[in-house]
Amino acid sequence: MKNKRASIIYIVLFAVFAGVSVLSFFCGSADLTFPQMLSGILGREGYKFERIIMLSIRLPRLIAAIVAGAGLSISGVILQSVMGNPLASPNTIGVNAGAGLAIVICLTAFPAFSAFLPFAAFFGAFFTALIILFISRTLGAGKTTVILAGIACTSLFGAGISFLSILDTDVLSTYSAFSVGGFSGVALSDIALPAILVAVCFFISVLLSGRVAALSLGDAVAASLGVNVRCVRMVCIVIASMSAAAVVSFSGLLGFVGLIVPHIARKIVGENILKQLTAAPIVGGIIVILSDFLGRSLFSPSEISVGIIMSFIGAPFFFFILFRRRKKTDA
Amino acid sequence: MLEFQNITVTLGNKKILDNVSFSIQKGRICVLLGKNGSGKSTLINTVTNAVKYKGNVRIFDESLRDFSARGRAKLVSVFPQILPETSFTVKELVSFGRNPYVSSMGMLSLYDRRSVAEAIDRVGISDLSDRTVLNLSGGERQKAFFAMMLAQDTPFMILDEPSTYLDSVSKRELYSLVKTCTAEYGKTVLIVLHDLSDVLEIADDIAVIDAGKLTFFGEVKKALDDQIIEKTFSVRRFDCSENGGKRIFFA
Repeated sequence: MKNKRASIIYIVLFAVFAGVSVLSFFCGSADLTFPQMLSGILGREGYKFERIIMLSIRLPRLIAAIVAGAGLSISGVILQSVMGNPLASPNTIGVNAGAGLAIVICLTAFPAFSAFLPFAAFFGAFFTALIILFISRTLGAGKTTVILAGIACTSLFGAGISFLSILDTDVLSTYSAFSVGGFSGVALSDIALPAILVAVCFFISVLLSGRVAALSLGDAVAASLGVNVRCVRMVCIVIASMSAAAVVSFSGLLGFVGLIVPHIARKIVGENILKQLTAAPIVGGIIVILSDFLGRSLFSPSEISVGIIMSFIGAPFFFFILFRRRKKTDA
Repeated sequence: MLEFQNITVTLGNKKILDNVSFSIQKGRICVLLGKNGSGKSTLINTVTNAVKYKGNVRIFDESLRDFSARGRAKLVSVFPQILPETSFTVKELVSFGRNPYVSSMGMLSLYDRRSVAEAIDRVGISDLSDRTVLNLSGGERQKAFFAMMLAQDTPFMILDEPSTYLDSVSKRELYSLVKTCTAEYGKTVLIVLHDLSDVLEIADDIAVIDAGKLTFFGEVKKALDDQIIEKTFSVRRFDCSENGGKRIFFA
């Protein structure tokens, strides 16, 4: 009975995912008919413009949205589990901002080495995660303090990004779009390495899902259940950072996906971490594709960045979580 | 045999445990007594390697330090003093007991599933299987965690104040389960209790820790003869008749 329910949930999720992917791919500001789009995709003679629109603009954007949604969702599920904090996400604990600062430093100091941006982003994100972990472990900080420390890191790194942007006008021109997050002008070559990194993170996190679930019961219980707490937590933070950083390297500081998607996935599939890890990337993909589609369509031909749409959805959701937690505490 | 050999734990300049040594024979229940802050939970933490300590904790004549985290979890299960709040269902929580035996993905085999169902059944919470642990009463939650310990199926069980939220009926049920574990399955149990009157109901041996030092270890009869409980906790002993038998209270 339960297996049947789970199968139905996944079938529905995949159907919705496929639906929004098709919608995003075939609908846009360019006024094209379906035969024109098909001819462009198939590379027929005389349909070069349509081919560029479909395969060089819409397809990379669609894949970017899928990778971004999946990568940030995986990162969010892992961080919320290993930190035992439903408010933890790559955005709220400053991991995204750390990755962003590292990218801006890399762009400023080594403009010729743009191929290394995902690695720079990873080190920035990992370093930030270590700071947060240090605060939460060494100082015995509570869940709220972790979030406050994340906000402080985000502010500090944001100031660093602004400062470097002022020093380097080339960086300043890209900083605005980068800080909001979006897929404008993204190419398939930008997504290839991040997509591989996100896939690797996904497989490792699925392999470790049993240990991650035990860790969510707290360090003492997890240790008594045979979990090497320090090792598993460290590996989890590495993969959560790597997954978020890979996304930041091509999408900029896309907020709220890593926060809201784990909650939605938990609501759909329950507390089982393995199910959350498999459902969250699909849900994340759906939400980011839809946000990107809305951003392109609502005020066409003008485009609203996907990061702005995500913030409009994510911020009220964040308030909703806070109010619900407050209600639970009061009860 | 579970053996604590010269255990010393120091935090900063303060000695939390000072050269504590005693051993519990197979199939016996040892109750660990001590005032708040005497070092009982710290001693338990040495078993899971949660604190740095000098000395040795030995099981089957092997130092626990030589085992991996999983290897240790196959030998000793621990009932935590503070039960974590979790949104897992009772069945999911008890399934964690099989963690040392399953792959890192946590996929349960048919045998594991049967062990989980049996553990839930033995504790008598089958009707709560699909309930969220967060929504259980304190007593029900403690039973769920005890079922998790049973599912872990280790020869040594350590329980840190397992009866805190239990009413007198549930306490008796829990003690009866612990006794069954030792009598039928030969498990060795170390249990921390605060209610002194409960001690005699369950203990074979008593270990008393005072200010980090072991002040007594021996059989219950000797502890009673030497008035160990009275001296340590400044209480008086009352002998009462109950249902044709004798019951001892401390107050």
